[in-house]
Amino acid sequence: MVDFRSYILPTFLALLIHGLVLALLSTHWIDHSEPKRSMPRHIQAQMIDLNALAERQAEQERITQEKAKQAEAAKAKAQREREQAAAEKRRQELERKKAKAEAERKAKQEAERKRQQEIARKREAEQKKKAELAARKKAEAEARKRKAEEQARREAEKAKQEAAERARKEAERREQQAKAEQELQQALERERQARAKAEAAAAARQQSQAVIGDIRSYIQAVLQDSWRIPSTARNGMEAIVTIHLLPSGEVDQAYIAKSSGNAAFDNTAVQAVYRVQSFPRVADVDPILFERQLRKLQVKFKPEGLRW
Amino acid sequence: MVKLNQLLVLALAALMSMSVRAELVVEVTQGVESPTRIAVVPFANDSGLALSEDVADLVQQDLGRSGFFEPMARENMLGFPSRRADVYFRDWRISRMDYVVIGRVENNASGQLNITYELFDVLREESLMTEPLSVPQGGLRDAAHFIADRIFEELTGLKGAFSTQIVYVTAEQLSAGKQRFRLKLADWDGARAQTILESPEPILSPAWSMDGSKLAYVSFETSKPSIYVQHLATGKRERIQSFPGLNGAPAWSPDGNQLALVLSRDGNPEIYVLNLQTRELQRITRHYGIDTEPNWSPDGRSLIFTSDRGGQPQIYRLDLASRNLERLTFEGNYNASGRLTQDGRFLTMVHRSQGGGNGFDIAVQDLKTDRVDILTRSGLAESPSIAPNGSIVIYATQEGTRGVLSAVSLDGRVQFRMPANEGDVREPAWSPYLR
Repeated sequence: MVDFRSYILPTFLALLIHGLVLALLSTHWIDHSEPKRSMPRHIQAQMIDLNALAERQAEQERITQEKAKQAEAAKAKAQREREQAAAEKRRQELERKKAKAEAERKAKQEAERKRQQEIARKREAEQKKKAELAARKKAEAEARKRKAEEQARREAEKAKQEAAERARKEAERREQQAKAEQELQQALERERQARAKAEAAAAARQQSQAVIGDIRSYIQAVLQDSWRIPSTARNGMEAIVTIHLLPSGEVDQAYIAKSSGNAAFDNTAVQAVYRVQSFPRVADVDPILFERQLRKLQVKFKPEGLRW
Repeated sequence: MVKLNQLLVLALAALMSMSVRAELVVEVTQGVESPTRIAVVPFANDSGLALSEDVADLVQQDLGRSGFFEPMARENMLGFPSRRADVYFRDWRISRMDYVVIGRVENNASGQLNITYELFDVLREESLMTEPLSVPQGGLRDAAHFIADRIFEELTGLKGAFSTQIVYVTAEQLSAGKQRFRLKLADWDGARAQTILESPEPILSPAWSMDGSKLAYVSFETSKPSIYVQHLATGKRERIQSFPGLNGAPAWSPDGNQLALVLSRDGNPEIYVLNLQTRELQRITRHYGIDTEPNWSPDGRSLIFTSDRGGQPQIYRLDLASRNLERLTFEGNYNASGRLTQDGRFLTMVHRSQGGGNGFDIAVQDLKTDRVDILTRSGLAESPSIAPNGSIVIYATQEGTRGVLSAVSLDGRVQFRMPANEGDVREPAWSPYLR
């Protein structure tokens, strides 16, 4: 689309150029009067001689004479001057008439020119206006066309975009659906696996529980054979011994984890472990199970059914 | 929802793994109720002297008689080490010993004997205790009891009572109508007995003061019973009380300032408490039945005594401040001569079971549970007296027609006869811990 403003500047410039040309030409045409001739003025200086005062009388006489002479001369001169002035006046009158005619002619010429110029200008302006109008119309038509085209283009674009958007959304939706589907499948799979794992773990645990239960009874039985309950023991006493075993079942170390408060009683508990020295059946236990439960274990020595 | 399920599974798995990782706990509630096995290796004699006593043998005897230990017979020992470097734990382990004691006797510059002993834990293969002693040549027996005390305390947590003493009374029929009574003082095992009083008239009921410096007893030397106090260090004795009728069964209060006793001056036997400083006499019981054999509780706040106020002899406890009376024994138709252990938990007594015939035995009652255990089967036991650490009860019994002293561990495991080579022995009293 073309901006109308873009025509203002050229139009203005054209007008300016026309105006300028007109102005330049008009000085030639209008300002044709004669250039003024100024006459130079002379300054008449008066010389005064003090020494000449003595001669003043003579001078006065001479002056009077001179004056008379001058008056006479002046009279002649005035006469001459009057004649001259009349001549001059006639000449001037002639000249003035001549100039006037000339001016009239010139003015006439000028007016004609101006008229012609005006006509041309008007024609030009007319043409210009017409051209402008045409141009504007053309521009407008073009703009409209462009606009329409633009509109169409935009609409097409929009439609295209919308279609693309729809397609994209659809694709996205499908993708999401697929993804959700996949995730669900994965989750189900994971859950299934976790359950399977948990079940396997449960089974393994059950099995290890059974093994551990066995081992617990075994260790208990061995220690009950080994523990010499001291005479100072009383029902309710309780000492906890921590045992560190080696994978072979050998006792690595044993120490009181919680005292009964009676050092001698505690001592018999620790001794019961050291007396055993080794729990050979521990060596048959699965190494992982051993690490988890048997490497370090606690034995609670708590006599029951004593007399006191 | 899916997430929640996952979370649940995870949490469950975590819980499982936790339970899997928890330490195994084994509970042992039964064991072999057997004495501790200990080998007391004969001490090496590096002194160059012929020693009057076999120290190791005395230590072994002390430990064995407590009932807490089962010493190894010497003939079974694989070696007689006397220094640490010579102790082969493997050998002792094979011999199923838990502890080994070694020692040696040497001369020292001042003419005394140096005894060094060391106690080893066989199972842990470590030395538990070692100590050098310096004793005069005649002090080997004391040294042996001292060593036994130290080992006993180390291994049982109870203070050893092997350095304590006993007193007892012997009676001899010299000729028809002529008797000799002696009050004797001996080591706890009956050794080194010495007569501290001799009388043609009966001596009864010797009782130790709690500081072990004095004895109170009843003597008939003036033909009627009177209560005397005798200082062991000086032999000085004084008559404390003599009232018409029966004067008997003195018992020292734990603080040593009072004496509980039985007087029948008001008609029938009643319990009195005599303040030894002020000589003030206070009547404690007031009953038409017989009240006798008073004994102080370890805290001194109550008295136990025998009374037939219920129709047959039973043991009662009287709180001195509140005068609250409480019957302690209900089992059997005869319970008398009650004594309390120093922790106040166990009561020993002469007991006759319901339907048990005429047998009198030593029984112990757990005052916490009121469980009664009969410790002897002699049928003629009397006058039980408890070791200060509560481990052993000494009592008098009959062997044939002769009275002898016997002892039984409080758990009834070990019973042994005291060596007594003269006359009829009766009325033993075990001393408190002696300094």
